[in-house]
Amino acid sequence: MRMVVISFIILLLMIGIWAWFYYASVDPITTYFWDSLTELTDVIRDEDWETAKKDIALHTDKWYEAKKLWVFFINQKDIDNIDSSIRQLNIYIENKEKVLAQAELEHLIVLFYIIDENECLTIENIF
Amino acid sequence: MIVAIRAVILYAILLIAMRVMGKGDLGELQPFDLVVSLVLAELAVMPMEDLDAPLVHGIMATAVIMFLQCFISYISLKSNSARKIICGTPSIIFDHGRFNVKDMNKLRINMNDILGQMRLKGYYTFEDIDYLIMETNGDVSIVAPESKTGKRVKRIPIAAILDGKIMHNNLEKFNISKEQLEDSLKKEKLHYKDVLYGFFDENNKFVFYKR
Repeated sequence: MRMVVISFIILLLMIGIWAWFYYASVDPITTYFWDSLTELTDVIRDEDWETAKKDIALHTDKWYEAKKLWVFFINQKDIDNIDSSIRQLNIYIENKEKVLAQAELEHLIVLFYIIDENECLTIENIF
Repeated sequence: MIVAIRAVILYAILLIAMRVMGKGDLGELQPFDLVVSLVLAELAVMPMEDLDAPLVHGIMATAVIMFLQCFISYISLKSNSARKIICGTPSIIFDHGRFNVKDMNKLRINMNDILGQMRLKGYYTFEDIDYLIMETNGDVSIVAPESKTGKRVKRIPIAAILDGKIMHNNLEKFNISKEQLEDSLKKEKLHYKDVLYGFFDENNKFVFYKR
């Protein structure tokens, strides 16, 4: 009986860590990026490059902060994809490439959407 | 280098998991033990090889398997019905010159398998043995006449009480009445719940071991 209890506590601990990670980090951060990147789409559409530069710098910092925790739980490939996409977006905004920046922004939104979808507890994910 | 560090971490986790699951699971290989061994091996290899996969995924899956293993072991220890479902029951394949063909077909074993098992245990003819029993872990037990006296074993001991629970199926199978068991318990001033293992020997004498 003691071992059943110990293994159950370990299991609960692991589920607790996962739940904390999802609800305290993945969910709020992906929501933040959806909202802020959608706002950035409007800024790029209006070709307000100074605001776009400030915004993307802020979002990049936010991403690097979140990444410190995410590397322990999320597949490294997904993290590398976001890293690469943010880097490209920075370059497009610096060079005032409107179309490329818009396309990369959409790509980045989709990448965050995929992470949230993959980590969420749904029937589709189970099967 | 990263692979080596991850291998050390996973090895430590698997070692802890195996220790938590207990010695019994290492010694005997019941059907669910085999499943656990295969799954754990696979779980350990995947995060070791795939550097993109976080270690937490492997640890989480190991924690789930460890809990299920402990839980199933506990249930099968406490409940006879659960034990029957999870581990199955031993089958008497050969009983004093008679083969149980029905059970042989059910277990999908043929005469070659039986003869091979007999040879491995040092018996070469059915005349030398009284019982051949297929155990739940796939091993074969042979009950043979005592080597010193050459006395034949009339009947294998019939387990009447296991872990404080009456084995009604066994009593029925070997024509032992419940009254006979109750009388035996009364004589010893015992309640069946106090008996860890009680059986009727070949002379129908009730032998028991208290908890």
